[in-house]
Amino acid sequence: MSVISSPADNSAARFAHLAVELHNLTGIEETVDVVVGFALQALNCSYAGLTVWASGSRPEIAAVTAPVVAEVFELQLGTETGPLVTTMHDRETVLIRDTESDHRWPEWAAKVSALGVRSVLDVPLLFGARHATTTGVLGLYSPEPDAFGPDDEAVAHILARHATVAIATTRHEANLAQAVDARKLVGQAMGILMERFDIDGDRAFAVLRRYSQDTNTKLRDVAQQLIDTRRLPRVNGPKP
Amino acid sequence: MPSTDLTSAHAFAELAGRLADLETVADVAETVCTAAAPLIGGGSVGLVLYEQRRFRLAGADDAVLAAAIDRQLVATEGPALDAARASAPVFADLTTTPLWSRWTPSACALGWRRWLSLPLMSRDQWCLGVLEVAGRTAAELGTAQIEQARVLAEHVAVAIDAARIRQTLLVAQIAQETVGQAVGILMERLDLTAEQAIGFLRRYSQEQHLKLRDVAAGLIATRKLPDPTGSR
Repeated sequence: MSVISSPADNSAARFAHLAVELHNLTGIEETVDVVVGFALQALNCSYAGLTVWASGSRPEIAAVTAPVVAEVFELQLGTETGPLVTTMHDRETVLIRDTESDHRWPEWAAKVSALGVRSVLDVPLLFGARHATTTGVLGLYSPEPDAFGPDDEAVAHILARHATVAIATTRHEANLAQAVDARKLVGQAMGILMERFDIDGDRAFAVLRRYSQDTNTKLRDVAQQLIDTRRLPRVNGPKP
Repeated sequence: MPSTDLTSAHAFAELAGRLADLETVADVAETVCTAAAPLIGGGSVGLVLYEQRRFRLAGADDAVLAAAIDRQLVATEGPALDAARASAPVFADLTTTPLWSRWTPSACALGWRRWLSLPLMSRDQWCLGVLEVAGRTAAELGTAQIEQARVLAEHVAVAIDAARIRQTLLVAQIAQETVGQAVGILMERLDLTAEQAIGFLRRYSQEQHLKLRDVAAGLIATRKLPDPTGSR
């Protein structure tokens, strides 16, 4: 039984408080730490961890409550096989009732049971349309066999949903804040060129963009160089 | 099967996910007003937002509720305004409350009996608006519904605040580019660092009682600082 499903404290209210707490945090690291911390309190698990994987890059361990979770993750990321990897690719929950009798990933299961972990519940973090290329896994672990019942699975899914929202929102906000900063720098660089060559904003932007393309440098960095040196960077590469 | 308590938590999590995928505050308000009432299990739901220093009816799932909320804004009294002012929930039985002598009779005349106003708090702890839940009978808005409404209000506050922050950052991108161009012009013309040029623009706009944005736009358009006399 989950602690959270006891009638004395309403789980909808606890999750609402969690959503508010997560929203009030502005960093990804704090966000994932609160999520795995909540998992320990709300679920019948002894350890929890969270991995986030953006397509085109390696899966990253975002948070763990104990070093053993990182070991369980690493065992799978190295061989690219195991319940975590399956959860990530198939975007489906995987429950292992007992690592001592699991037949799907026998090698991995033997190593994990040697680490003292018997029950494993991996729940996918399904990001919405805007983040379709990103996925994640909330991993829950217990030294007891058959530790996770239907209520634990339900709580884990709800937690994964809130974690997904919080991570996506935090990332989106960080990206927008970076874009604001970039636009400020690009604006300043445009202003320098507008004054120097007596051109309008559109032409100044076209000059910056051409330098960005010709030198294969980010627009933001071209702008920063111009602001710092008051010169346009040299074009070394071949012209298109 | 998971316990029924978790069914409700699951429904709220799904709503939170749906709201988080929306772009604007208006989209969030609309979805809350069309989709949220079943999660409370009774009553009607409306939303008041505090924008540009004014309270505004952002939506309601019932035209009669919208009318009653609107009358609060016209009468400048009522549970929503009290909840916003105190940043605390207000609950009233309109048939017995001595409060809001101008508004309460009109709300009763529209058929409302029980009224709950829940403040929606931003990340910075200011009031974004108020979630309004009203019942035509005592049973429509009882203890269970009030508890669910409070849960709903927390999720709605998070979604509205997140959408508001995204909107603010998008607007800031445009504003920063405009001010940035003016700063760049001054950096080049007067051989200043960015900080010096920003300081120059700020002082100028303060001295001339002009908005920074307007000074920047004027400088970009005419290559001159806007006329100090304000004659444009």
